Amino acid sequence: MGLEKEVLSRILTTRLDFALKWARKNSVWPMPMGISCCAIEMMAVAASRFDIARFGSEVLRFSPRQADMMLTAGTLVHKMAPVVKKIYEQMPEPKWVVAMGTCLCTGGMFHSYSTVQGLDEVIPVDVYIPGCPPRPENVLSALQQIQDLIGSDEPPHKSRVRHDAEWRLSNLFYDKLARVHALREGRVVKSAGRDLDPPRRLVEGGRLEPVAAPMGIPVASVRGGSVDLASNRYSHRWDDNA
Amino acid sequence: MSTTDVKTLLEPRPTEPGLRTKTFTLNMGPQHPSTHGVLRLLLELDGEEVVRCEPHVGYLHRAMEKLAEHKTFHQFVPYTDRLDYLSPFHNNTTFMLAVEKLCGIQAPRRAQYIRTVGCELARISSHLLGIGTWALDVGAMTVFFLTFREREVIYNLFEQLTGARMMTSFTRVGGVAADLTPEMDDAIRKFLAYMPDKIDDYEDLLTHNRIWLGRTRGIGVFTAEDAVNLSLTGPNLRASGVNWDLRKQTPYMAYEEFDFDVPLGTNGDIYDRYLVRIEEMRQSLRIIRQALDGMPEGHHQIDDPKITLPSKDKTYGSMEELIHHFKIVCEGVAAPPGEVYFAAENPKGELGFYIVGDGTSHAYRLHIRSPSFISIGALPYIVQGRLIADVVAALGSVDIVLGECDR
Repeated sequence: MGLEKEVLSRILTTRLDFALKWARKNSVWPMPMGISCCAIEMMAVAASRFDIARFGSEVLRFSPRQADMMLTAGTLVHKMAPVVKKIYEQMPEPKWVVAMGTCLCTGGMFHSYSTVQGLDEVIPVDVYIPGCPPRPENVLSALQQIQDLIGSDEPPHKSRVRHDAEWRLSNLFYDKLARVHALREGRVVKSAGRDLDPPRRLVEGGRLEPVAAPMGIPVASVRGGSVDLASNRYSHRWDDNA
Repeated sequence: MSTTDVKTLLEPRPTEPGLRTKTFTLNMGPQHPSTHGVLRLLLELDGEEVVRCEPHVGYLHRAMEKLAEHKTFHQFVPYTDRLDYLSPFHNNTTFMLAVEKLCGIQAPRRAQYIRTVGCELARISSHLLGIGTWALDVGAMTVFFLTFREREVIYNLFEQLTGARMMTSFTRVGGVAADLTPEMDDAIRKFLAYMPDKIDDYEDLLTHNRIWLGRTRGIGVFTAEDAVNLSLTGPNLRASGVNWDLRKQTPYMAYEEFDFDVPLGTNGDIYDRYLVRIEEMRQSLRIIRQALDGMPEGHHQIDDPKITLPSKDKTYGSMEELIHHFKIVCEGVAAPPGEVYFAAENPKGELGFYIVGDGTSHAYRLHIRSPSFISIGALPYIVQGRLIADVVAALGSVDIVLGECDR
């Protein structure tokens, strides 16, 4: 009787994997992959007011081999993408990835020739934080989601989209998704305005000749791009950064 | 160090007969905490000494100038936030002043004053982060936490004024988005009373700190001549003793009406650049106080129906105003054809916008003269011949931000 009581009062029995997960999720070491603007808010998360240390995650390791969560923040451009991928690959397993900011979710406002339209085009992502930049509270919330994920039985790297319901329902989100899909499928979103023939003029012999050609400027042949208005409601507005 | 000295450094070094040393190339960045973003420095090292430093940029090239060609002026304001994301308010203002110059209009005096308050708050915020991260890189972690404490106070002010902590997007053609409320005025005055002691705190921690002095004094010197030749602007130039502040030289907004000093350095070393930034924060507080005291009455947006959105009740009640609303929302504010260059004294230096207008509400071509790009170009001149630890201190001292450099 006495021995049993002694054991119960001093020894906690649990499963090994549960204990491991518990330890892991309460000491996440982030690798702050700060690329641009969001990195400033990421620093704010680590600084005095928001203090990520309250969640056991204050050990920011700039060396990927010592980290288990990559907190990616900023706009990913094509020149930087291989670097981010390499750093991700250098992190030991198991590892989790947070994409902070709209740029890393969908490319955001930088729909341009140089910007990667979302981090998940390069590496798998576990938690997305929309916002431009997201508030530090959102980053803390993402950390808690990562902790839940670590504590659960789910394996990492599902690239699950965990947007707020409000964001998911907004038209903007659908617009962006359609645009990203169009790009991924190799469809170039064009507008009617941009597909017009170059201006021409009547020359001798009744031929039409591009206006710019006589000035020595090479003129592209008439562009044959199709205007796919059926599949894409707003395509006439999306040519803007072509 | 003069420019000719640097050239001799680039040449192969004479070696003792029978003794050959080989240089070693170190890749610093693009992922390195003290490159302040995604800057990559190729360092050619002889032992710990930097023989050659070659900055590589472009890891954050987001094609802002190209995007500007397809955005109306109002749509481009959020992009200017993300140029120098440590002082978004100032970028907004500089861009809008350039657009207003192209349009040939001027915002009302009240708007100019509100802009001035915001710009100077942004300057303090930018210098706080600059000094905080720079001290962090050099090893003084406490300063980082203290400066971020005050940055949060400024963020609160921005949130109250503009609705956003960081990316303010507050300016409009011919004015600002919202008026400065009496509550806002009180909040900023509280900040003015709170801040001077805090600046003294940073000085207590750094100005006479032996380690800080050892890491910064006499290192990374730009002579006045070099600084001008390298096109440096802002605190980097003034630390070398060159009295060039666009707020004084080519006064814009209402800077002529304010009484403030331009702090100048004497040696042009890293320490002087720190002192200049500290003093600039104090001067900014002075300017803000004067701007609040002298805040003119009036409207915060220009009284021109082709430029300013009509109020909601007018939009719903009057045909003319409805048409104006529709035109401004759908087409934007059109600027006459022509080209302008406008530069303002940003926290990092001279930020300039060159805009070619073609008569529409878009820029036909827009170029951004970014001070950080110039500062990065000047960096090799102060780190070559120094130790690798000095690269970190020098990089913090030129206070760069890559969003603006790569654009």
